[in-house]
Amino acid sequence: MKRYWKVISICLITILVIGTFYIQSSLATSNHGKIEFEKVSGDEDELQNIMLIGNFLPDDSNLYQRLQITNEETIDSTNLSFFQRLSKAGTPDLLEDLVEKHKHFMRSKELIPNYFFEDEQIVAYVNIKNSNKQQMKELTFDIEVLTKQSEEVTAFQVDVPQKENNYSMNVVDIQVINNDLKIITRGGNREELRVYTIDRNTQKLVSDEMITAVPVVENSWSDLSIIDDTFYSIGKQKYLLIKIEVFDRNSPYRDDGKRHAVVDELILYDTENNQAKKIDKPSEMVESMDSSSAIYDSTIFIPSQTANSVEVHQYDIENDKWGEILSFDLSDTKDNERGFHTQIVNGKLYTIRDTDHGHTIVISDLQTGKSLYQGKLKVTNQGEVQKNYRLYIYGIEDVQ
Amino acid sequence: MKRYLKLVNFEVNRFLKLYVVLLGVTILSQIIGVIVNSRSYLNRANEIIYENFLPKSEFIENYGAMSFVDIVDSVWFLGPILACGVVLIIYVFFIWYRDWFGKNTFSYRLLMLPTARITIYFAKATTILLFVLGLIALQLLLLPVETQVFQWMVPSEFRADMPIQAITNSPNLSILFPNSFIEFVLYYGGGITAVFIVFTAILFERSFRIKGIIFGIVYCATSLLIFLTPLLVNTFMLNHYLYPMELFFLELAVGLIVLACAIWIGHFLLKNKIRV
Repeated sequence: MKRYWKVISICLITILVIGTFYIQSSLATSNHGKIEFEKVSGDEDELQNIMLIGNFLPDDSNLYQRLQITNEETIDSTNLSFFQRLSKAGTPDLLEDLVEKHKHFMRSKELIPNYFFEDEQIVAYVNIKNSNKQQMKELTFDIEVLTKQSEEVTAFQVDVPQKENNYSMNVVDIQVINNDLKIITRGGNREELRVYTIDRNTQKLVSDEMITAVPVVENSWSDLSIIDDTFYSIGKQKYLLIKIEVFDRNSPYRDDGKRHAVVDELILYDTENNQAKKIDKPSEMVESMDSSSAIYDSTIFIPSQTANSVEVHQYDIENDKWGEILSFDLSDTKDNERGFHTQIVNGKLYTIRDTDHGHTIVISDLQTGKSLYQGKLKVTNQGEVQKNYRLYIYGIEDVQ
Repeated sequence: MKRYLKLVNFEVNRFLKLYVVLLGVTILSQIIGVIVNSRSYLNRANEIIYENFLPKSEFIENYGAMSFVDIVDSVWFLGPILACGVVLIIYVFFIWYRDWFGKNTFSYRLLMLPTARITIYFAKATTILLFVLGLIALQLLLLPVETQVFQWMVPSEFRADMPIQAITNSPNLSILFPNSFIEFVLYYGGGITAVFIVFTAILFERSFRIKGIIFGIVYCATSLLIFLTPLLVNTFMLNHYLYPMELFFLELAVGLIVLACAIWIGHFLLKNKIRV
């Protein structure tokens, strides 16, 4: 035995050191910072169905932990186990449920939320196939519909009507209304949104209409975006809100470093009735719109931040009217503020601010303008080294 | 078993001197790296703070505090790791060829040992694995020491401390230290499979000389192709039919088959074809 002391000691040290390291790191991952809500006023039930998405990271490095925070638990999604990560790999959060429930149907599909639609009865999937790789000609819609109850899958293809110079085209959204499958696409030689309606019974194209297109202005660049909190959902949506901006390349920059838009339009598309209409808007409106805007019932809400408050513009779609501006006072926290996140989810306004004394969260009802819940986010279970880690919240999701 | 142990011990002893040198170079270079990097950061801080009359807090805000990851990314730190890797890769070949091209025809004596010849094969593979894991262990032992040195060098207000786990997760080191123990076993298991494949290829060369080189290359390519088959079939023929989890288990199974083939072919060559 004595002769082997070198080999034996190399073995022992190696096993001990590597073993200890992995035991410690598995303990450390289960020991990540946990975020808890501390009520100041209001109803705690308001926290029941929401999930905050944020990062927890040291100020000066990119070693972050991505946290999903609910009032029950804090999930550190950067520290999932190997098999958890493997089973989630390549599947966006929005499609995880579908993959789990309809494993077979979801095989061999491009897992992009825009390509899917789900309601109580069916799951639909549409992708564009291009048989001529060099040019964007001979395009077909590759359609598959799963009837949930019978688990029956109908697959068929419909040719996309010839369009000259189609250099790009992709599916932006799918809606199924009764027997009609509506495919909203984006593309064309100038940026345009089209809707193709396909009858599911006859599997034929019924109509092909343009929703809107970016106006052609010489020497300019344009920006077409779809604005909605639920845009990246796969459920039913009555309205799509479209923002179009065109900027002149030669126009001078303004003080804020942006250029003046030659065209700025806000277009509302009604998916059920195939109708698009322009919305008359207060002049500064379009520019300030971002992803925090949302449609709830038949009202468009557009929040904007001011020094001590959040102002919410509201537009009544059915009556075609801008309503009064709602103002939510936030002047109660005097501390030095750093981060500010505002989002509208399910007709409620969420504001989360990062102050010197931690994060505050305020939930307000947009109908009544009343505050429903006020609270603080407390970081507990914070390890010694995580002391100078900071929390950044950048998203709120509805998890019902 | 006793023969195997003896052979491992013998192989380890043969490489030990060079190995100790590798360990020494790593320790020295990395600790120097900590000192050099900390110094240069502090010098820069001094320059900016005293020459431009910038308050400390503002300097940290503008230039960032120093973290251990800054040291990890330097040549002083990564250089020796890379060097050890290269030396060990060369040694995968050397561990066989020195028996043939060494002072006396050592391979003859080795192959005449009253034991199954595959034991030699296993002993050599074990030695390589042991050396690799030994270096990994050394790095793990070094990190706490180096962070301590770092803490002595840099005052706490200029420092962003991190736990060892966060350091090993940094992009350059996460290759050596996978996230979980399962991944560790998979990565290094894959590595040792590759070593087995190269060993078998070397035995092809030793058995058939010039022709054997071609056999060896063909064999390596075939092994790789077999290993990649599930991935290729899933991508090009099945249109991504399989989910990542299913593909993983398929790859694992194929990997084990490739490993078994390498050992079996190696055994066959050693027993029947090897030329001394």
